[in-house]
Amino acid sequence: MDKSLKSALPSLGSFLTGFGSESVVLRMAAPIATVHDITALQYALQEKKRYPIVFAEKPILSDGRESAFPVVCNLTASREVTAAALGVEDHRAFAKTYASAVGSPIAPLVVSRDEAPVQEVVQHSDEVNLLDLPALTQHVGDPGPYLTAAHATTYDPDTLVDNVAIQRCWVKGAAAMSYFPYPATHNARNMRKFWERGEDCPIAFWIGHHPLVLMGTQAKMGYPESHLSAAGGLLGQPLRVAPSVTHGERILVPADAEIVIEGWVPKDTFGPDGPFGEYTGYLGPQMIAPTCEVTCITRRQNAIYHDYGSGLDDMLVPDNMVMEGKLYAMVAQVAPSLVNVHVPTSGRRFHAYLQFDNPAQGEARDGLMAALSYRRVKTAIAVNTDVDVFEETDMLWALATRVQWDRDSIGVSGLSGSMLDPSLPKGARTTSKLGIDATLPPGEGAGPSPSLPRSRVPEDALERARDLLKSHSAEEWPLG
Amino acid sequence: MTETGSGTGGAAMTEKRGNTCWVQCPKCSAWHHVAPDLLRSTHVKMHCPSCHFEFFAAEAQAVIDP
Repeated sequence: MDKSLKSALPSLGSFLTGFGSESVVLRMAAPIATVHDITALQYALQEKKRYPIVFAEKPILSDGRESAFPVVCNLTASREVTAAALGVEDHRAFAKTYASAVGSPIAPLVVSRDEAPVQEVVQHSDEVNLLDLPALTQHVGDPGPYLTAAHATTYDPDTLVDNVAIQRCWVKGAAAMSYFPYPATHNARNMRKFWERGEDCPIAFWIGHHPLVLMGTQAKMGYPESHLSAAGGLLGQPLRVAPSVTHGERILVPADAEIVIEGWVPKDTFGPDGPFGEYTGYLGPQMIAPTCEVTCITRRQNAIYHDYGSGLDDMLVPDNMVMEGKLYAMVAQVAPSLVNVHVPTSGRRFHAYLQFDNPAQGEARDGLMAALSYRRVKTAIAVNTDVDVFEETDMLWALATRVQWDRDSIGVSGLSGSMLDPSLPKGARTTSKLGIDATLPPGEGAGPSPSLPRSRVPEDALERARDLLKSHSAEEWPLG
Repeated sequence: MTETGSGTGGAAMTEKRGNTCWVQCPKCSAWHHVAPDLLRSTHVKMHCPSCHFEFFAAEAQAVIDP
């Protein structure tokens, strides 16, 4: 195959090359430890509210060896960079674009193994050593290194339709790891189907790809529906896939990924998993999880290892942006005046801000109910277009000035929710949710709005003031 | 005093209670938290993240099960 064509195909490498400037990619040439230090660097950047992609050239493994593979993290920590991957100039316009692209799936293109860069190097059983990968130990209390950007791929044995999900794996040995598919996920459903047939579940985990593929395969799908086709919709072209070495055409893996780990989830075999730093910002408890026996690792010759900082913007941003796309599609069906959706990282995955353009009586509440039906959404807030859903001070101002709690809040109990919510009572299997209508009353006819006008200064005066300030340095002035 | 919480459970609904189970490693005495299922399991051992010793709940130095 033409090597130059290979490099032009969408991949993690091609994406990084496109963002090669120092203002976007922070290249760490000095050695840096995979135990805590790379994640600590992400925390330090987040403290500064800066989100470059981090490229650690010399990760040091827990046994002191330098890894043969560089580590990329913070790949999608910036909304701007993540939206740019989809060709969206303004990240605030992502939801509508994503909903449209994923709604037009494109079937994957199956290529042969020798056309798959991810199979340039193939290591079978005795050669397999997961401990050579620079998997990070991220947080205090994590029991060891975790794969956090491993896209677990299984299939429904009834229909043979694939399913892909990011699911964590604790690397326990050269060919052994835990595998934690959340019980409600489609991968867990596939696994149980194989087990009910008395069979081990075939599985492959792929790591590292272009952000469009990462986000496309995170699309929320019905069961069974192909995530590989959703990724094609986002790419605007078929995702290239190749038969896995262990499972052949039963499990197709992205041909342009960086690393693939293949194996089996043995029937009814469990071990401990965790504690693990979750997306909630808390260390989740140690749980009972299935295990995975690794049979084969394939990779590019110069593979890059991708890690998501769990609970950091690195992981929250792409996941929340995907949620925005899904929520936009769900809410717009019942509330056509919906303009935009924001799932802020401050609320982890539990808050959704909905923006409406002069919604009719009852429409904002309809939209709130639709948003609350999304399992992870615990609080949904509706505002008008004069409130910036991407500015939390604006959102709090709307709550303070447009809400009468007994009239405008909708509390609903007994809904499905995230069982990782730290506030849930012990043993609870459902959660309570809240919708808040912080919109203004709808206008009638052509007259002024039937609400107080917002205080403001003339736009031309504001422009003059901004010009005046340009000649002053703001760095020394007091902070708020 | 009148309960102001919503629902019908009165104090039981409005009082906040801890929801996290902890175990103390019998080898190194470090604490870590575990899911209730793992605490009750008789076939999957817990794994101490500090010293990597594996043990059943019955072997723990101490257990907190709120």
